[in-house]
Amino acid sequence: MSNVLIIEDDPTMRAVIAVALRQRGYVVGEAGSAAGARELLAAQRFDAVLLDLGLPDSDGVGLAAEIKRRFAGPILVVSARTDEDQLVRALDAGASDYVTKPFREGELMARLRAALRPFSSATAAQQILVGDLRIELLDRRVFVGSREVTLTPTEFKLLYALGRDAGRVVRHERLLGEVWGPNFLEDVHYLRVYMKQLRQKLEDDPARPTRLLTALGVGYRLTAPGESAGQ
Amino acid sequence: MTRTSTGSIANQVVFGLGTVAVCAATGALLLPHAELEDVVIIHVLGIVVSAIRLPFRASMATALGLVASFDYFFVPPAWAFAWGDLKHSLTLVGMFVVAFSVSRLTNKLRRQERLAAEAREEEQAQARKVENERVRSTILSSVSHDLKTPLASIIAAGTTLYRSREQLQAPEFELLLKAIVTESERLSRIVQNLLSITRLEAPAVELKLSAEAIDEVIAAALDRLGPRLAPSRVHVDIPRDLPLVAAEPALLEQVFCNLFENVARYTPANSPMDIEARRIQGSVRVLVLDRGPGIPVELSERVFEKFERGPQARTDDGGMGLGLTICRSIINAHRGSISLEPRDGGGTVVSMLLPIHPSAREDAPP
Repeated sequence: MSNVLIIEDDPTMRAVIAVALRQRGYVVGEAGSAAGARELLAAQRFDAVLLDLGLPDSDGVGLAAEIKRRFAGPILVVSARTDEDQLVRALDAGASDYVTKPFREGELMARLRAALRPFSSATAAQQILVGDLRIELLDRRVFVGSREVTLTPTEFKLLYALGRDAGRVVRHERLLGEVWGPNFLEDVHYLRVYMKQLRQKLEDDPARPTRLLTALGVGYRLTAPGESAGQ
Repeated sequence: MTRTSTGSIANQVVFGLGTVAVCAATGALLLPHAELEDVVIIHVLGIVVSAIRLPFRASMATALGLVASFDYFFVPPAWAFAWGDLKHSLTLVGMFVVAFSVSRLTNKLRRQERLAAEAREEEQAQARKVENERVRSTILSSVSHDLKTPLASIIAAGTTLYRSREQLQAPEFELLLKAIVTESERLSRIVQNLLSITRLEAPAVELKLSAEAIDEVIAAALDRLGPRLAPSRVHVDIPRDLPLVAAEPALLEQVFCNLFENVARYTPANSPMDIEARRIQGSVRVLVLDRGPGIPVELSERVFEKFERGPQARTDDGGMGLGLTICRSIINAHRGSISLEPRDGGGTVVSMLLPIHPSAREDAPP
C-alpha cells in the first residue's frame, strides 16, 4: 500500500488525517514542521505528500517547490479557503491538486486516490476511462456507457486535457494553453463556453454536473459520478 | 456675535480703509450742519464696527486710521494734525480705549465660540465612537453566542464519546457523532460568513473580477450545501447562451450559499426552489424563488440589515441575521443589486442584477 507523508503543524488535524488514512490502508508518516518534513523525506520513501500551506517555519509555496525538486510523487496541498492566491501559486510550483479546509474525509480520499493514480499504473493508454465515460484516443471517439457522444475537435481536445489528469484539478491556464495555444492563457471565457457545451453533451443534468466539476477560480476536474467531492 | 472676522488680509485692509473713508466722508457731509461731537460719534461707531468685524490687530490699525483721519480732517485746525491740543487728545485717547476694549471683548467672544464648536465636535466624535463600539460589541456578543452554542455541543458530544464509549448504545453513539458533524459544519458556515464580512468591510476592498458562468457558481454552491437541499427540490433554468458575469467566484458562491441556506432552513422540506437567470441589457438577472412562508413586504428591506431576521427565524436555530447582509455587501461590491419581494402564490423571490463581463461582448472563441 502507498506511503503518505502528512505535513501539518496542528497536531489534532494531523492526528485525525492520519487515523483516516490508516483506516484506508495507507502507511502514514507525520511531520509538524518544514524541518521535520525534510528529515522524513530524506530518510524514508513516500508515494505522496499532503502539505498544509500554513506552516509556522516555512512559506508553504516555497516548501512545495522544494519538495517537488527532490520528490517525484504527487503533492496534495491543503489550504484555507481564504488564500486562493497562495493555492494557485502552490499549484504552479508543482503541487498536483488541492483540498480546502474545511474538507470532508471522502473528498480528501478521492483527491489522494486520483493524485496517486498515474503514478501507480503505467499502461500505454489508448483509452481513458473515468467511471462510465470512455475516451478512445486513437479514433477520437467518446462514449458514455454504450452511447456514443459526438464532440467537435475543440471539445475533444478539452476533454482529453481533463481526462489525462482525471480526478485532479487542471488549471485554467494549462487548459487554455493546450487547447487554444499560448496566446490565449487569459481567455477564461473560452473555457466557460466550451465547458458548457461539454456538459450539455456529457452530463445527465448540466445544471448539477457530476463529471465535469468546477474548481471555482482555479480550474476544472473530470471525475467519475459519485467520486466527486464529499459525496 | 454672529460673524467671525472678515477673511483674508487684503479683505481686512479694504474693510479698514473703507471704514475710514466712509466715516471721513460722512463726517465731511455732516459737519456743516452738526457739531464736532457728532463727527466723533460717527468715528466711534466706525471703531466699534471694525472692532466687531476685524481681528484684533486689524481693528486697532483701523482705529488708528480713524483717529488720525478725525484729527487731520476735523479737529481744528483742519487739514493738519493737532496732537498737542489737550482737550482733543482726550477724545483721541478715548477713541483708542473704545477700540481696544471692544476689540478685546469680541475677540474673547470669538474664542469662546470656537471652543464651544470644538467641544460640540468632540462630543459628536465621542457619540460616533460609542455607536461604533455598540455595533462592535453587538457583533461580538452575537458572534460569540453563535460560536459558543455549536462549540458547546461539539465539546459535550466529544467528551461523552471519549469518557463513556463503553456504556453507550449504538443509537446514542450515532446521535453524538452526528451532532459533532452537523455542529462543526454550522460553525464552519458562520466562520466563512464572518471572514467575508471582515474582508468586505476592510477599507479599499479590491475585487478580483473574472468572467464567470452563473451556472457553474450555482452548481458549486449547491454542492457545498450537499444533502441539506435535496437535488429533487432544485430547478435551475439558465439559457445556454447566457452571458458571463464579472465576479469574484468565491464571493459570488458565498451569496448563493447564503440564499440557499435560507431556503434550506426556512422553507418546508419538500417545497421547490427555482433558480432563473436571464440577460437584461448590460446585466444578468438571477432570481431565486421559493415556496416558503414568505417575508412581509414591509420587512423586505429590513432583513438586509445586520442582525435583522425574518419573522420565521427562531432565536435558537443558529442563524445570526447576517446572511442577507453579506449577500448585499458582496453584490454591491460587484456593482450589482439585490432585493427581495413576496412571490405570487406564496413564498419569496430574491432578485439580483450582476454586470456582464466585458469579454462576453467579444466574438465567440475560435
